Amino acid sequence: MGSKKKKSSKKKQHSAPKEEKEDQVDYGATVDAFFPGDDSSAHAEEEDVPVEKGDDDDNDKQGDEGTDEIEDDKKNDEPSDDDEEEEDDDESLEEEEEKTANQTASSLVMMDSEEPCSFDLRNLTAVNSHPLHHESLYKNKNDSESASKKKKKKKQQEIPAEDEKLTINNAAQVLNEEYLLQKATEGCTQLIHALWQLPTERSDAGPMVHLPTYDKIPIPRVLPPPPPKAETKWEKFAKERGIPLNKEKRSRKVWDEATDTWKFRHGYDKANAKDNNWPIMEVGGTDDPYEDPWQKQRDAKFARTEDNRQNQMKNQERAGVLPKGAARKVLKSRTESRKAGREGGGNAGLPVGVPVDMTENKLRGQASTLAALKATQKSTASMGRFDKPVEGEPERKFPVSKKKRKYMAESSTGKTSGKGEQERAAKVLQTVLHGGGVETEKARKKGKLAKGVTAYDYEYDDGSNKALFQKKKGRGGIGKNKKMTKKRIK
Amino acid sequence: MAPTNQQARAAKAKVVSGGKAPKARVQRYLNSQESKIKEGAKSTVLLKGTKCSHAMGHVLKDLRAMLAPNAKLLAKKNQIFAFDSEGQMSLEFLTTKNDCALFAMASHNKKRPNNLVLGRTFDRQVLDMIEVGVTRFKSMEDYGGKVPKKRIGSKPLMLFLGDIWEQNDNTRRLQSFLVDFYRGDPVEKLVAQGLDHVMVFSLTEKMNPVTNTSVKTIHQRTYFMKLKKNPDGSSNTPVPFLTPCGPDLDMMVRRDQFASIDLWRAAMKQPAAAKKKKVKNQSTNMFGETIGRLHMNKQDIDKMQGRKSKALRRAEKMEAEEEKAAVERELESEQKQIGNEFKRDFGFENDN
Repeated sequence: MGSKKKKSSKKKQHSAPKEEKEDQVDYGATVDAFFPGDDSSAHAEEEDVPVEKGDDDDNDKQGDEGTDEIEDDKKNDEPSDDDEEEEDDDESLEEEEEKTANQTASSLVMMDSEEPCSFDLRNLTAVNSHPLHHESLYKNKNDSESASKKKKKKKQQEIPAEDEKLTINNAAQVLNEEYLLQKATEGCTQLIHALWQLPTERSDAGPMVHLPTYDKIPIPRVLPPPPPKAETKWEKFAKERGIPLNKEKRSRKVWDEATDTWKFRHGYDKANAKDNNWPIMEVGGTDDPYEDPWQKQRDAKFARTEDNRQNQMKNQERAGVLPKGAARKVLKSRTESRKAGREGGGNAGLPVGVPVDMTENKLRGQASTLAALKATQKSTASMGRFDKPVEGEPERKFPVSKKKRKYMAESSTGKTSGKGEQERAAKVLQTVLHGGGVETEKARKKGKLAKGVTAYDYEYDDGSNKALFQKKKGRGGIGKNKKMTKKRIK
Repeated sequence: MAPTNQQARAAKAKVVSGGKAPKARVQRYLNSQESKIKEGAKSTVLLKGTKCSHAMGHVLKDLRAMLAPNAKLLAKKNQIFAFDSEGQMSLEFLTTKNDCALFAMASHNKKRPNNLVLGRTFDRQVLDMIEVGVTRFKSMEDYGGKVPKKRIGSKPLMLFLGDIWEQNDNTRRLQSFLVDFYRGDPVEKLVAQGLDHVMVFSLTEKMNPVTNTSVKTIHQRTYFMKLKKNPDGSSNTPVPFLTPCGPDLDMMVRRDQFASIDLWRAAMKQPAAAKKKKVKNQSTNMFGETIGRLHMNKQDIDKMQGRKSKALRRAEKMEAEEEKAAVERELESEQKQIGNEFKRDFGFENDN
């Protein structure tokens, strides 16, 4: 019985005296708890009721704490007691009173040796930087467990200490859970006390505490901070001239006069839309009567959207999101494709039978025939070198192989035309020593060189590269080489 | 499913070359995954290594229960060696694709039994990693059904015991890591009644006399907390009552890989916009009124023109007349003097 007392000392759940206060207000339930209404909780019979360690730093009175928790924890804790190694359930009142006497005495002692913690309230953290008391931290397994009677011992997912070398002397050393609990309660009380000093505001869910905006314990971000948004051309102009931007003022819906409803300002079925799509269109004053008005409308719309797209891309270029010249390239390709679509396709101009890769130049007539001839002449095994030339055919020119090295012989007169070998060697040396100079600068400006060791230069192969799926080597693998999924196998 | 950097670049190139922009829903998702000025809760991806014991699987399940809803438990086993460059690439990939910044990988083999690798990422790159061996684990289940459980999504109160936490940079990093791992959503305002659990971390160090190395062990205990009214009513501050509820972990620190100083500094850099702007020249007096402060240039009162009234104007006029008269008189007297002198000198008067 004596050992029981020792173990089940400072845990609150052991306290189970039969006196229960029905009128105790459970703190966690209502808002009222924040506002001292009826202090019915503060009552006598303090000495009999066991006391909680951690509370003592706040108040000098001991002993009334236990009454509050009795109702709730009695139900909660008794079965759970079994799980604690030293626990027993169903203690009699007399034992309790003995215990409490001990507790009140010891609690007094605890109050004096309370260790102040430092706080990081934004993260709801308290740091107790006082060293842990080793003697009270550890306890010998033999000492505690064998002595107590365990009625129900629930299976503990005990993973035994694997590295025996490290536990030479401490083979049976287990942490004293009660000591930890005691320390925890102390620290927790201090933390709660600190939190309650913060400014509060009322809300539907209860009083809200305003946490400080800074972290004391450094916590890194997930992604680097976003770059500040660059000003668009219009924003810059408006700022200079003092024109209001109206970014937040425009409402999404506008009153439509025609239908007497609220319609969206932009987009499909927008408000106050000028409907020009009648089957019969009147010819205006300056309009050409032979012009297609619907085509004209479509062209105008296309022009407007293209302008908008262009301006957006140019703004992005200025901000650095897109590379320089991207807007122009996109515009060029779009106009070309539109024109080609209008004219009926890319190969529309050429006669039938001409090899398709000649559509680039779009020659006509004799020039086209000659180009076709040249192409066919080249398409032999020897690239047209050894074929018999036909009468009247111009001399065939063959490209000089770049693979053959040209040796610049130094002339006897001492005059070297162009770069001599010495100079070329010197240039190579410069490149090696000083890293390329002009060319590297150009490449860097174009963005071809890696900028640094950041994630953005990280060429991570996430397996989405088609090349990885190639089963065949060489050119044969490039063709129809799809991943053989279950579906395809069937 | 955030795009990896390669994918993001390819997508951008496609847009530039005139391709179609992604659908609105996809674009909204992509915008949500971009970097923000103020960041929210960090998500954790919980995965298993090459071989994972049943107990370690249970550890992951408990972690998921603690970190819900910001945790994702992956089912498959992964051939990842965390301290290998390839393994790190795989981890970076998994965290990117699952939109998570933290990860915990459990595995078990003969050399490292009950292994748990905890880590966090920055900018889709591994920042810190700690490999830990679990020597003791008591799950929430083991505490039984009657012990109250914390609510999903509630923030923990954390407590660090021991002086070893402040010993050196590594332990401080470890402390920051644990806070980061468990803290949940970083909020400005908190309904204090919602606090329902405390996590206590103690760090102990054991010297191995044979190899002369020290082994640090983190003891993590979780307690369910109930706030009770302070019985003497002296303060509104409630009093906490703790019940051990689990999970309890005793972790032996094996290896660690903390970020270099440069990467750490880059990760800690806060955007300028996040700083609260100081409101200057405003103060509140005891009545709750806002008092402002104006800064003026120095004013020379003597040279300033005040308000004019009839009487003042008249007075000015009179003064001016008097002055004039005085001046005239002086002039006259002077003239007279000159005349007298002339007479004296020359004998006759000056008549011009």
